[in-house]
Amino acid sequence: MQYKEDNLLKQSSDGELYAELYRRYAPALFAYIYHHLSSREDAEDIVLNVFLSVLQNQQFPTFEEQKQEAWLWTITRNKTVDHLRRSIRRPQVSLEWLSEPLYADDECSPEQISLEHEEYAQLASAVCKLPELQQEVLRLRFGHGLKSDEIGSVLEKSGSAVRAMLTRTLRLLRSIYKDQAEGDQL
Amino acid sequence: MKEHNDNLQSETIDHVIEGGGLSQQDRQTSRLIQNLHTYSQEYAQENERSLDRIWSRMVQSQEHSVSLQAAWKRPEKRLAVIKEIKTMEENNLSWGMNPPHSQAKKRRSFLRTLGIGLAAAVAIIAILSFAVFSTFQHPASQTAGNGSSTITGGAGHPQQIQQQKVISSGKQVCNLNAGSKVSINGAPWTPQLAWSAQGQIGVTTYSNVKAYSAKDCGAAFSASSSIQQAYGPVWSPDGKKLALVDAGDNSIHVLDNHGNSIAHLTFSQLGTLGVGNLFWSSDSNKIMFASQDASQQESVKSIDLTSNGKAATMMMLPANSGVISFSANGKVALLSHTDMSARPIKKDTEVWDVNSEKKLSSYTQQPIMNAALSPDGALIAIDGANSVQIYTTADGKLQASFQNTVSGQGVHTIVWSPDGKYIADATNVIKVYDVNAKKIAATFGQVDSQHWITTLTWAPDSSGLASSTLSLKDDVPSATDNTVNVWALS
Repeated sequence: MQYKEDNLLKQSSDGELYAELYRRYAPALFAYIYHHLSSREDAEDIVLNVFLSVLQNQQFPTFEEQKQEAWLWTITRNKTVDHLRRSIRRPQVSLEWLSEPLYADDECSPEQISLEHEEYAQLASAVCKLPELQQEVLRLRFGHGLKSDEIGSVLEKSGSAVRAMLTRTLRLLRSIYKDQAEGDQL
Repeated sequence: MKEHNDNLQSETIDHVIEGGGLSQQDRQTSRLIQNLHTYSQEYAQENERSLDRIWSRMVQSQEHSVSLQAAWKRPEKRLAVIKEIKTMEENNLSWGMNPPHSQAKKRRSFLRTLGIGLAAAVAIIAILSFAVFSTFQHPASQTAGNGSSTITGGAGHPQQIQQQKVISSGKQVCNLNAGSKVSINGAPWTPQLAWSAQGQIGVTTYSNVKAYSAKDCGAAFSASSSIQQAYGPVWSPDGKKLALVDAGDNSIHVLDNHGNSIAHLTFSQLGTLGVGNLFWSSDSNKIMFASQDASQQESVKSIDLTSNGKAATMMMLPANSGVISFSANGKVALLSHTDMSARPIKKDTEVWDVNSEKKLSSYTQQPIMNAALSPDGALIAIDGANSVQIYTTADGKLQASFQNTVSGQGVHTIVWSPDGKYIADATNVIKVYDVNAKKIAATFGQVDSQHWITTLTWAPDSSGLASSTLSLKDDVPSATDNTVNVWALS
């Protein structure tokens, strides 16, 4: 993964160390929990608990990076399962991440707004028709800003499988614009 | 048609999405990626705010001695994407990008303010209509003397004879492979178990609901209807009906003890978005459950299976509260509560007396890995980081504390015996605590670091336990290997 090369964790003070750890792992761990719980508040609580566990574990800074990552994922999955066992289940969040921009700026012409509405509608419609897993990969990539390897950790798939799926999905969605361009040329 | 010069290759897809490797000619790919960034920007910003909030709470937490800086370092590339979008918006570059989402932010902000205002206004809503609740109370419950122990009529099985024997060991009776279980739509990985008064153990898995004999783990029945992603099985007190929730189609199923469907009620029929633990009335005719509506307000609802199956609201919970569980006699509720007005936000676990509509006690210690009310609600067992503590719910006084150092990262499970004399707790080993004697009574069922004990359920006569065990592969829960063990206690 992209983070493996740097040695910041070994070099920095405690505060910087934990900030770096948070920067590296919190987005993916949060996405993972939110994916399973569909509750932002609960996901925040659990990520907080995970990192408080890190702070309380005096041995943690001595772990190798690979072990740190494995430890974080194990405890996150554990706490998520633990939470699910005794909480209300909510319907899974699907497309709330894809929101149509509002057009408050008077500088946008009605024609332009109309075109963008149409473009948004086409893209949203195409995304809706994708299988659930492909939608989730898009949400994690664009809504959570995760790399393919991180998405793989969230979905328990390999990074290469995620990259292949993401590529296929984007090729499929790109055909919307391709068709539009060809239509414009007619 | 022109051959498309395709820059979308899986080897470089992450780089391309971050704005690299695209030629000026590949406008369609650029436009798609930029639009996906733009349309998900609001959601992405909300996620960034979540991460900021978590960090802020961590900084303010008193539970550690590390001096954390006020701000965590956001990944520069994530910020770069947002900055890039903003720049393009400001410059109205090539594709006529949209202006900043000022209205969207205002709308969100207004709704947030409104939500918080409403939450504050109804901070302590009186619990309604508890008279109805009495139909859910089991008749034989009673609490012994000073609250140091609880003797009940068997947690919903008053026909059972009181067990007087003392538990000192657990011996495996049989085991079975429960099949696959994966986490989708919020259903947990692990199978969940329920032990009936007629000696059947109901097991919910990813693709089915099955029951087995508690004597020899032989198959008793498989649900005749297709049920996917079931959870929360619970037998009626007479052992003739099994209720469970289906996360696949968001519904409650009720089966008879041959696996045939008696009722199938969708969440929309019941007027709910989410359903928590199910609970049977003593006459085995009604089901009570915690419900969450569209505004995330939680309530307790009941369904009368002998009438139209419609849900009736029994009580509304205080704002920002959720039901963890009820005592087996239905008199006491265990709630999680968040004080949204406190800075930093505070969370606690509260015990409420349902009849008097009053909070009895609250518990703020952290972490609380799990908690359970005794069958009559007089005691609460809290599984903390390194100990199991027993408190009287009436006044929150500590009655007993058991050391419970756990190795590994197992899922904490804690359950009271139906007779109220024992607590079973499991992480990587099953421990049975004698509440009256205030000592550990039995330890058995140790698993290694690649297994978690995830569910425990008592036999209705307190003579046995069933547990489910999840295996891990490379520290990741396996979806295919879930074992159920049945233990005889003597």
